[in-house]
Amino acid sequence: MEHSIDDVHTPNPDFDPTDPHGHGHGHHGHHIISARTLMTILLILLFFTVLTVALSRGEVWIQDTFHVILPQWLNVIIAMSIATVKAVLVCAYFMGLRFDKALNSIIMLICVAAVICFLFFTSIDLGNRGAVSQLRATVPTPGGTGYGLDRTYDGISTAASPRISTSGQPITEFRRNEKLAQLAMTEAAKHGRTEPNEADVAAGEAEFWRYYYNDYVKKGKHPHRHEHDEQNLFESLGFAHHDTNVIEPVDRPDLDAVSASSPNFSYRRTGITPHLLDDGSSHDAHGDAHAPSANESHDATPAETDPDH
Amino acid sequence: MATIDANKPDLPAAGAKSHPLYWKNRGFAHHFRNADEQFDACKLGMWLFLTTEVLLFAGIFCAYAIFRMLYPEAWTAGSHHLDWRFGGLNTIVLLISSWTVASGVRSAQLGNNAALIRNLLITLVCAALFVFIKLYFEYIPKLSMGKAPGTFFSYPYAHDPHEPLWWSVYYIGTGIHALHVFIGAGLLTWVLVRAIKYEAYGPTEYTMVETSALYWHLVDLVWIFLFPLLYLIH
Amino acid sequence: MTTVDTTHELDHHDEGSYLTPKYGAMGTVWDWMTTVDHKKIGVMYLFAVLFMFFLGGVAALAVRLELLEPVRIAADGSITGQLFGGDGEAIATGNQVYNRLFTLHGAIMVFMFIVPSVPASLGNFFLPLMLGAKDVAFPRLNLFSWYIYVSGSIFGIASIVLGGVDTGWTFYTPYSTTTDADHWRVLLMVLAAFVLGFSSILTGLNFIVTTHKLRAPGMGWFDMPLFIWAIYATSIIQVLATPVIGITLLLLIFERLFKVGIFDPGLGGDPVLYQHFFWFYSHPVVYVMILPGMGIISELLSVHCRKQIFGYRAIAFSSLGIAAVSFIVWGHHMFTAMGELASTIFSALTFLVAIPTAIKVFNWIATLYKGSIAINTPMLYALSFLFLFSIGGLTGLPLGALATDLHLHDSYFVVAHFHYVMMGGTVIAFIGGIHHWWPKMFGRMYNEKAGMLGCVLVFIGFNLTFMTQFFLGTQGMPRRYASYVDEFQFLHSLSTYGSWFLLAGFLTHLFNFIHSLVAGPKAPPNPWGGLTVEWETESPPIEHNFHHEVLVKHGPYDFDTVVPPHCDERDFPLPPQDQVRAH
Ligand code: HEM
Ligand SMILES: [Cu+2]
Repeated sequence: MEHSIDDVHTPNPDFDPTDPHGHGHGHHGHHIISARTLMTILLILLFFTVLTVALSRGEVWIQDTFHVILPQWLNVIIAMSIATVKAVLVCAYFMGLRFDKALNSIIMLICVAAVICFLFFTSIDLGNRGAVSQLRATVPTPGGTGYGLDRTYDGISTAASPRISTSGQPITEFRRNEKLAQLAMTEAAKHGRTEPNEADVAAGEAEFWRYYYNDYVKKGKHPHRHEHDEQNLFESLGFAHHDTNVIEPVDRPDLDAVSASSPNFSYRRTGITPHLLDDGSSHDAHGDAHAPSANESHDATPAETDPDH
Repeated sequence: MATIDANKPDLPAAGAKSHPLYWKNRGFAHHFRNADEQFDACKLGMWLFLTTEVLLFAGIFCAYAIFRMLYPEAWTAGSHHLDWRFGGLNTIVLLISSWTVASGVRSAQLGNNAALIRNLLITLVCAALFVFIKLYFEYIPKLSMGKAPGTFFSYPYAHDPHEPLWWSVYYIGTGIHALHVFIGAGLLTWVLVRAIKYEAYGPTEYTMVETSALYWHLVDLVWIFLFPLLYLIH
Repeated sequence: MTTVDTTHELDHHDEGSYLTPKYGAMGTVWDWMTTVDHKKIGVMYLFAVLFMFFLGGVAALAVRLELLEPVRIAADGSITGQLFGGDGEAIATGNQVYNRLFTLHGAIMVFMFIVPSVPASLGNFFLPLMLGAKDVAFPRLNLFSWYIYVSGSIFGIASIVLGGVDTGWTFYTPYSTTTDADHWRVLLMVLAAFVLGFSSILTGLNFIVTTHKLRAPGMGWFDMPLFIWAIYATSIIQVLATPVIGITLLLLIFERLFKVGIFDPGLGGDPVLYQHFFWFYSHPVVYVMILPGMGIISELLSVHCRKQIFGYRAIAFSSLGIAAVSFIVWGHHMFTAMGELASTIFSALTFLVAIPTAIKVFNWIATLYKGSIAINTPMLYALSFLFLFSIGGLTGLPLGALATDLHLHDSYFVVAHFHYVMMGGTVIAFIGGIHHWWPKMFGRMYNEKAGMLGCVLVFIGFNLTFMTQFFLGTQGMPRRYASYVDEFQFLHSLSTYGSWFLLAGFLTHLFNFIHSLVAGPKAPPNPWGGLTVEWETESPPIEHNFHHEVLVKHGPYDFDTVVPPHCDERDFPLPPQDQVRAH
């Protein structure tokens, strides 16, 4: 007998009285969702898309107008709630879960539970390193040390990616310095010099920040003076009036730290866990900008680093 | 011998309706009791497959969540480089495609092959539009400015030292999503070809339409979460 | 008493065994290569995983041989000294060889042998048979997943042939992102694991749908054999956990190729995040390894002591319980790296796993009580399992306890622990299961005496090899080192001698099986008097599994009340009915 898995079998309607699956035969009654429902769902989804964008823009507006910084969890919760509602609508109607066997919904729920476990327990670890012993804290060297980017093994670079050596700087800093050097060279070349002198460097820097502020401040991306703009070209280039978000230095020691962030270290951590990686030394009750340098040990107690404490 | 495909076109070739792939000529595999059971099994299989896709993306979302928690400024700064208008437009494009594909299933259930073809075509156009916007307005300009992942990062005006990491997550997340757009579009194209050529789908035979549609909705679902997470941070 | 409803006859009367070759030599090969028959696919998997077991085993023997002596000094002319060469530079090379050997042992054993072992071979063959179905739900997908398995294995072997990988089977960053730079071997091996994951997913998906949709009429959820419950729970884990290793390995590939920085502290990433990703998959996957083994044991014990399994529902639900809990304990592999809060939570959760596991063990022991225990190879293996798995599980507890794990982590104690569960558990159950179902699969009996001899050799060899490692570990022998201080040599050499006993045991089985295939006596349809559905068909089964549509009328373990199909009441007498307990 030859058989193929696609053999056509005529279903025998009165076979199988003990069918464990409990559905009879001949009922091809799959639910057909009405065109009107589909359209309504689409409109609701579009509405929620507009809503989530509007709320997010609204948050920006509130921050700029009332000079506050909203915590990030607000943004996350609003955005994720709306996204969840949208996802549920897609699952229930477009994907037909509402009219389908319960099993398929259960599968999806189990899947979501697994995802939640994954995110939850992983963040418990990453969010609480060093809660007891600083030994286990992730060392907050922003952007990394750059160590290893040029690591070689038996003289051969370890990656197919660009083989850069950042001499221990974070890659962002390395690229910035590269650009500054290049701009200084351009300035020098304008004046027929082969080596940039101090004036060239300054001019290059001004050029750099002009581009930066044009791109950011004017386009509303980041209405602040850049932390690395040490000579305050922000004001001298005439961008200061864009800064609608001046933070008063009073009463907000945590925000003081923001403006006092060193090139390698910033303290503004309004994430899910505020002050996640702060160690004691970062809380300077006197508003006197004190940022630890990169080499300062992070497990020092406040008493050791701050005599006023 | 158990053959892979029983639908040998040994029927007389007198137009689409006599083709074994024409929906009225389709049977069901011999190890199922009836066509209904086969349909349910296929759908269950697809849902299980979708859970694997969700968990695949869970890895990316997990990396996103961890680094956003650790480096909130980098995420804010990075997100400012993205234009919410393109992201929003793409969201709308995908939502519409999701709607047309759901309508496509409905057309198949009603036996309206012309509507099925129309809906699938619109869906595919949306898919192409999505990829086009992504590439032309987002990936290409950004990459040419050096806003690239990891060590490829060469943008000098970064605001936060962790921006390269943000771009890594951005490109991996949207890139793998885009890959799924391609796979989904491929599936739908296959369905479309069979619908055009053989009128392969109708009220009693639309398993492929349904399962490919489910896959396409997943692409939409993932984007529903990616969009606010990537574009709407401030 | 028949369990088959003959009123609904299918036209499979004159059908031959699925093994009968049909179209000449080439035709038969082609037939097997393109088959969608779950039995043939199961048999192909069986031989493939056994081949992988052989490859991994050779590497293991080499590792053990290396550890026979504390250091390799070629000058003193010892056997092991010659294995890896001796003088200064050669020792460094030797270390690299050693790293490669244990990596390839681990990677082959985990990804290519033990994960697919039971589900893909015995599961594929017997899941539809035990459900009374004609095939799995998606036969073509099944074949596809077999080919994915083959190509994944080819990638893995290619990586080994090109010179091997030295990252350990866990591919921890930064080892896996930095070493072997000029080669693509790590990528190849990672790709292999990635591809093999797909195969695992598709198999699991197929089994879940089959269990839901293709149970024979009359078979409700609680009429299913416990092997099916175990495979079902396994499949859930496969479907839910494997995609995470997919994305993990993908990120690893990106990391290695493009330095995206997610796992690289040099760019602000976190290498321990890799471990989270990896163990979110790999802890559940240790239950992918053990659950099918547990399922086999439930079958073996009740059939070979002719007794209703004790606590059917408890065993069934504990399989699901293990599957659920397995998703929230992965952190116990990273106690030395995580923050304290997470460590504490994970430690507490880890103890939860012990509950469903212990439920199973107690129920098995209760099943043996007052049963008529047959002394044959499957039974010996089942008893070995109980003994060895209990040790393996119990030693998991000190590892799950924070304070002790900080000392035992990455020591030989861990090595011994997971060998007791993976080898003493899964492999032992697998071999026992092969013996149990061998007559059904190939239609031939094996030699019982040789089988029992093999089992005894394996049991002795196993304990010699791994019991010693518990002591080594507690005394401070770290894992993954090629050399050690002299004081450890006695235990290490005992361990190495044990591995030779193991080899002898496995070879005995191998010859026994070959002999059985060539000259074994023909097997009756139901040699053990089993009550599950697969014993109702012929040995080996016909192409479409059953002559008739199966209608299940009794539970899988009703030995008290049912005479097994194809059996004589004289061989398998029912107990006096007035003594039968109500279940
Ligand atoms: C009673 C339940 C179990 C508990 C409480 C348990 C606990 C643990 C713990 C805490 C570790 C980490 C030790 C360390 O690295 O410091 C570990 C390692 C391990 N366990 Fe278990 N375990 C159990 C059962 C199993 C089973 C059933 C299997 C597999 C069949 C298994 C396979 C492994 C493997 C492979 C490793 C080591 C992986 C590696 O580092 O390479 N365990 N176990
Ligand atoms: Cu574990």
